[in-house]
Amino acid sequence: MLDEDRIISLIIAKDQNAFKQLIDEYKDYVYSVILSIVKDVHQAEEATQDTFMKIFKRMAGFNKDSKLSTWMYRIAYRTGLDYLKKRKHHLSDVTKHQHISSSTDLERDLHQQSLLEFVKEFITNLPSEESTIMTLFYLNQRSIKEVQSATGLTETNIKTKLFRSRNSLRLKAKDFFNQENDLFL
Amino acid sequence: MKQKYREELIWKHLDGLCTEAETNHLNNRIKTDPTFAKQIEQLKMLDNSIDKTVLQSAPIHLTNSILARVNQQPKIKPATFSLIPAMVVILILLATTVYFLPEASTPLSDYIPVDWNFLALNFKISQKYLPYIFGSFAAIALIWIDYFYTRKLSI
Repeated sequence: MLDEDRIISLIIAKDQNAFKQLIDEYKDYVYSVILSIVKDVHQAEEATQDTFMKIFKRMAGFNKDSKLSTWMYRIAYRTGLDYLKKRKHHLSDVTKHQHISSSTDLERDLHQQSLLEFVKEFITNLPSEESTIMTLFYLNQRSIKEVQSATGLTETNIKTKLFRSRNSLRLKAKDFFNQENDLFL
Repeated sequence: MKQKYREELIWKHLDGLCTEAETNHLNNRIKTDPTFAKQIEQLKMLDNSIDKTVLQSAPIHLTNSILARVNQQPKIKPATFSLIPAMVVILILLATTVYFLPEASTPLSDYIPVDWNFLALNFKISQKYLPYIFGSFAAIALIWIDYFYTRKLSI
């Protein structure tokens, strides 16, 4: 566990060892948030690097009005959105293609996949905003407030999108569980 | 509507956000309805799977790549940008003083009022102030150049 106050002071003083500790602690989290937005591993890696560079440069501006992780997620979220905007036209073609192919693959391979793979594929195929909300929600110990603080979206919007996403997962998982009846009759 | 409420309640239960009354209500239903209990178990599995899935492993070399980029940053720190407005204020004060300052050798009675027509200035600035004025301009220019190139070179 990091001593955040100490790490923050050291990073402000441009201490690279402290920064390395911060990266090692949070890189998976930041990468996961960005990947849920950009849905491309190469871009996610590049955007994660950019996010940490911004964190390194802007650490002095962190005023501790939120948790360090939330502040970092906020930067990651905005960086991810910037990347998404940059390749907006390209993405729309790729996403359409991926969505069509993946939904057919999903049905065909449903019973061959493990539950984890099934869930992972489902989250990957969600629209960016929904998958980011779900990712941030679960990464932040299910705190709506943390998601709100990181994304700037309203509480109602977050709750609605989260409910829809999980409900959609439940319906698709019905096939996975090989049930004839709906879950929750 | 009722079903939607029930589903919301169950997700709330899985998130650990139910009130005591809601938890009791759900626990009673779980005890009395085996089908419902099974469905809850399945949803718990699904929920746990989401929990395990959302965290993705970043590439192993990511830390080194970021640190390499940090090392590529220019080592020279830019001049403090807040100095520039301060210097501009000083320069304005200096210029104003010089503008209204009569030549030392000019008797007050011979002082020519300032001509506000700037196209035809009829005064001359004392030579001794010129180095300070040009020096101030040069300092501001150097700080700007330093700031501009440091930003341009930074990643």
